[in-house]
Amino acid sequence: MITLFIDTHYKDILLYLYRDSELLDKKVLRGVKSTSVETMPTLIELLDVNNLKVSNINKIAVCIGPGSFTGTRIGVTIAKTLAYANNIDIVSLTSLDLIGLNLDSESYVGVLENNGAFVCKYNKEIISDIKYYKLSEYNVFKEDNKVVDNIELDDNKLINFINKLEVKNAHEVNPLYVKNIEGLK
Amino acid sequence: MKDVYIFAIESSCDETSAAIIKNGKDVVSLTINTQIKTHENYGGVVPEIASRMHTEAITYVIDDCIKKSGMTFEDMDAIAVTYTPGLLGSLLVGIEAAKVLALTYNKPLIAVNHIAGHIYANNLEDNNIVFPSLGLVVSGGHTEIIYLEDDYNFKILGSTLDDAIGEAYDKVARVLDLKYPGGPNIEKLAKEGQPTYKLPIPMNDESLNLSFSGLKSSIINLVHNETQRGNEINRADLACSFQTIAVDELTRKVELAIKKYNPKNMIVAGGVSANTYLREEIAKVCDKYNINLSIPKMLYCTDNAAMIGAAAYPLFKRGEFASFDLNGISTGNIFKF
Repeated sequence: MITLFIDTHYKDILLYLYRDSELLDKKVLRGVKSTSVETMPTLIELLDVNNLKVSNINKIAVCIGPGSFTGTRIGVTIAKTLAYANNIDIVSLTSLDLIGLNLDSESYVGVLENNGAFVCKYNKEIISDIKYYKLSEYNVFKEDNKVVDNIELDDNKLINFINKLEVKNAHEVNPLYVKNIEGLK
Repeated sequence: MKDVYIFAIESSCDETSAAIIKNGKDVVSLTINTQIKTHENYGGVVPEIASRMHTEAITYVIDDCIKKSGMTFEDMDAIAVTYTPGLLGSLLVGIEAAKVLALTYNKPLIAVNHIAGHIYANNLEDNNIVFPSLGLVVSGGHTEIIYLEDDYNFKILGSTLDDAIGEAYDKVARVLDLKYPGGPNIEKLAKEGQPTYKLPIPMNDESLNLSFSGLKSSIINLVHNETQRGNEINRADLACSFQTIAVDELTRKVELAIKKYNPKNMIVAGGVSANTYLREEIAKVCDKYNINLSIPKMLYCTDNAAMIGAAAYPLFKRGEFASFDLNGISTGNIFKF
């Protein structure tokens, strides 16, 4: 059972390939200039060096944000089209999970974006509403509440987390935006 | 020769669309999911909402198109997608989905210019572009008079110096309390009115360029001033006055181009080519100079993936394929394809 994990929710591209519970290979691109230019070629390269084809992938896991709207949409569009076109399972997780799943006890977790951060309480899963703070507000909140927003992603914990997620209908996998659009009626 | 089937995707503005086109001509299957009802509430397309709705719709639209065709992706010869011009966030949804289909089914990817799509809509079904031809591209983002020398060999003779004609329709519609999209709604209202309002004639010159911003502003000012004075506006007459001046000016410039370039064929392309008054006026000029006129069916005038499949076909024949690092470009230049 080969799973492909895709995360493009902000400025990094994370692509993981794993078999059952064992990591095969991963590509991590930090601070990419254009997610749309780099994601697909990086995925193709990852498959090539591992002598795999798209048809060898059995399952897709995708990060649905919150984060950059366009960045997240690129990863989600690739993931849902891959799942649809190859008729394989898809699961989704949030950018807050990517921080929280590394922690052993209850804590606030935060995900930064250009002008602010998304924050929630986390204990094995999201246990509160997700709130958006502007950067100045966030810095105060972070100080008071010991928010974890920067932690190395543990490969094994990520794989275990993904393996427990419920399979979704590919058509219905969409980004989690949290932020409303100004002037939305 | 073997038939060529192209699976095409369009998501540059507020329609998510997929189509299967045979030999650049026959529409085997077409699905269009329009967002007009949503954007109506805002008086125009809200880019972030459009991008979100494309993401929600994209796989449903692809699935509907392939299912009703009775064909499979293995039967396709290429995957085509609009990459410019348009709303960047919206273009990217179609582009990434197209890349995944091309990778999954090992098909070449073809990047199509949306304006070329509107032009090649004139090759769909019973229509045929005969080169050389004079082209008028009229849409929400474009107003251009083009000389079509050969496949993808186009020369711009004149273009708008400010607002596109479709943009002017949308903005005038807003001050007349009409819903988005402005084109069809102004046209409907204009039928009930007479061109009684005296408005400035745009670019009253002999060049092939156009301008609609002055005309638009004069209408906005007129409505504003009359409202402040407590005078009532005859909306139907104003809609009719605007449309008459805008279209007559377009037609006058087309006639100038005809006199200068002496073409035997003419095509009209873009969303505004769905406008009946424009169709009639251009037809009159073409009759006068004995020119063959081609205008796509209404369905292929507004944004759709069928025209993208039609425009992809000459690129397929030439083997002009895109790579997986294809990016969306919001402002397209018609010279660059």
